[in-house]
Amino acid sequence: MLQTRFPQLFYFLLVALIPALIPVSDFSVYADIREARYWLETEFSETTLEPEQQLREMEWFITAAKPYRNMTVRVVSERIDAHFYEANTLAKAFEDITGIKVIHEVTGEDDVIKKLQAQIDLNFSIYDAYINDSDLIGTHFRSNNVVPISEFIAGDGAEVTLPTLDLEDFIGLRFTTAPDGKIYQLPDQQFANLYWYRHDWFSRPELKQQFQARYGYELNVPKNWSAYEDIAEFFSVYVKEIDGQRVYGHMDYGNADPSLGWRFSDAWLSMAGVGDPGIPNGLPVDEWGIRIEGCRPVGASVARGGALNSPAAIYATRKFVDWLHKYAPPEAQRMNFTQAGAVPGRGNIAQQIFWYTAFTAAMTDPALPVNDADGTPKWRMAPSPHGAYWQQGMKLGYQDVGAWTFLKSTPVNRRKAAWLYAQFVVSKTVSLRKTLVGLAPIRLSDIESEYFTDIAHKYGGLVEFYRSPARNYWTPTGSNVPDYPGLSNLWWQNIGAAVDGSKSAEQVMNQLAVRMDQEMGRLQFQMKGPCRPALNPVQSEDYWYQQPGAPKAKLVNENPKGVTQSYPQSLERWR
Amino acid sequence: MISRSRLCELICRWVWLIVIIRIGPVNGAEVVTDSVYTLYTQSLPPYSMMVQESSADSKSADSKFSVSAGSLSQNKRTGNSASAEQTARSLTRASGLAVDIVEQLFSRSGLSSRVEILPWSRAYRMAANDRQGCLFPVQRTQEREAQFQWISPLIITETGFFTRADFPASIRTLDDVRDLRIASYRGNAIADYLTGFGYDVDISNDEFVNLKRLQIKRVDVWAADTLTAAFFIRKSSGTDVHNQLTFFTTLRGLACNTAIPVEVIKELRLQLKTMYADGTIELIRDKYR
Repeated sequence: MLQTRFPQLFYFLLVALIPALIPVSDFSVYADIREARYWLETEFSETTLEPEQQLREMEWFITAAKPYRNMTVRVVSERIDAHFYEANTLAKAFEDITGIKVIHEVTGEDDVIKKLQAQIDLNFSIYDAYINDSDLIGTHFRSNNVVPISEFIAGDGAEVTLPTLDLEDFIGLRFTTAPDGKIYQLPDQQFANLYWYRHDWFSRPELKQQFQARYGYELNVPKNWSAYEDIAEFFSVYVKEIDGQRVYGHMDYGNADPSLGWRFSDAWLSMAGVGDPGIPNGLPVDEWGIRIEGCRPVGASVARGGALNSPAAIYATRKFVDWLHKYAPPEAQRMNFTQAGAVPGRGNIAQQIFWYTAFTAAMTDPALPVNDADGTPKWRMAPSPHGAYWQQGMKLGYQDVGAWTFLKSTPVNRRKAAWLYAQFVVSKTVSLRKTLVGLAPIRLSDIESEYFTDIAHKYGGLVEFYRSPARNYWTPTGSNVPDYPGLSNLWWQNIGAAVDGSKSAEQVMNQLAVRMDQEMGRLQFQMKGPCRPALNPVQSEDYWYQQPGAPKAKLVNENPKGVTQSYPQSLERWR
Repeated sequence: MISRSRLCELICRWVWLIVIIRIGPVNGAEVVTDSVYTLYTQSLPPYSMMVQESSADSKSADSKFSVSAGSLSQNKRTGNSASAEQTARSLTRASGLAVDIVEQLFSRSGLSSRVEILPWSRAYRMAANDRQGCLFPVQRTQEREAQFQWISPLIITETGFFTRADFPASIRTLDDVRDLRIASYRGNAIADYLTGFGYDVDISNDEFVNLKRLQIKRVDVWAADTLTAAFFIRKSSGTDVHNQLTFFTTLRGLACNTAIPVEVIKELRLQLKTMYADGTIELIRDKYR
């Protein structure tokens, strides 16, 4: 098509004709369209829309933004590539095109949550919008502090809602929809937690031979934790050096700060097999070990029917601590999420069981030793191996869905201006380009585009993951968690003691389960509504172990034989 | 040549001072303790600073500070530290937006406290090691989260990129300062934040010095708290510096030693929430705007 082959010519012809269509008095609109044309030509040429469709979207933004021109909107998000692109590039484009200035702050995820909580607690508007993980969906729908976007679109926000927003195109919408059927948040970026490994090392014949001789099966993508552990030991203890460099078979982080909590609450227990089968989070016991009845959380401890201190959860914690101490670089114990993220790219890590694809863009730098000079990765990402308690039909990984969230304490005109910006950064005009920069896709139309086909070879399995049904099975924290900001703190505050060795995994998980129950007991009386917690009475643990499903009794053998599979076979698991 | 008063002022900023304020329990609050909590802070107008007692009733935070600076540097000149401290106690006290908030917070909670103004790194270390110590107003970051128990936010502050009026470029986003030389002060989490992006951050111990460095073009940008910057710009009678972009909002809290009983922390949190709800925080803030 001519538009495809000569997009710039089409932009020029279309925009050249636009002045004739605009009233002579409204020169500001024409100026804005000139700005839009500039941005479309220079930044947003990679798109699933035709150029004239892009221009029509921009015209709509210009018109809808008129009442809010010269307003300054302040929003906040976590510190990942997709949000840096928004803060540094898209905020500028939006201001040039609409006249609404946006200050898009980027900070740690924990800080985003603290600020959101402060605004709720103090009923004081700090930000006009938050890009807040959908992990808080259970909090939002119970709290009555968040404006559900489905209600906003139908009400106050109707005249500022983009006609081409196309909600059905968002792959993460199910994660931002609560049990009450309302959509609370609009997805802005998504990334998953997958297994990462050095495909080039795993393909070396001499290493394959050594592994086979020692462990009795092929060095390949691990299917279970036993194989992961064998591979970790193989590289850290026996191989030790590759091409003159000290190498490790495992990477993780253990510093006692909030990010240690995410290492667990982001599906680690479900990977071990702690909860029950059932997508998205396990039913009736989820990946936090919380049992749900109807929509009411009834307990986290085994004594109340939960699984947070069950043998499976203790196993998950013990494996995390053991591997960190035995097989990861020594400095990993003092690292946090951000610091650890860059380590595999340095070229001395063989595999990482818990790797956030938010780091993919940074991992593709051709200057890194993990890539060839042309940028082709020597690494791959694959489905995460599962623990001994895991069963078919259970959640096997985590997906982060950063989503636009609007609090009721924000004045409605400011909310409308922020909603315009939110829609701009996820609009079809912009979203493909943002996805190519940040590699955190949100729209099915982007994922299925030819652009994605063309780049698939550069990203070691990311495109394959997002084109498969697995994108629905790697899920965020679900609606069972009634107060994410409050309860998520308990994870890192307790797990740290297992990392530094001051307490055993069993002691830590028992303590964590008690604290989680205590907090939910408090919420039972503080919260309102039909979905507030209602703790089960304490019963003997044996009673619960005799019931079907989670909590599960201790397995006789928590270390079954390791199983591996080829990379193509592993991708089949996503299909 | 540097003026005598300016010399006094500089000296006083580099000499750490201790001023003790004792606040007795004022009501029959539920948390009853004989403990005296030490609240460490650094000199950072208008949040924490020394003021002369006689001028304490003044409505102008600027005048409080300038009077204080002269008095304290005079003490330093005697060369007698005990005497200096004694004189400081008799003539000066800690004040400021954050000091006023924590004083009232502890008073409402029925807790005894004293404020110590120290250099940042020493104040931080003391709060981490003193089982009855707290640090304020601290920018609450993920990295600091685990080291303390938090009562937060005491105040919500903003940080801006300040440039000279004749600076040739506009700063619209964080990326626009990537290749510039940025001044910040030690202890400011924003310095760590910008350094984390690989930006060229030049750290000093004194925001007034940073302003001067900006004015004489030693740096391109001054990343400073908007109230602190306004304080020093007014003080220097400067009209040649302005805020190009308020780029970051910070929750500043009271960071207390992990050994302090959780009941005490809960009471402080409760009282802080009340201070927001009844308008006390806003009133104190207005005093320093």
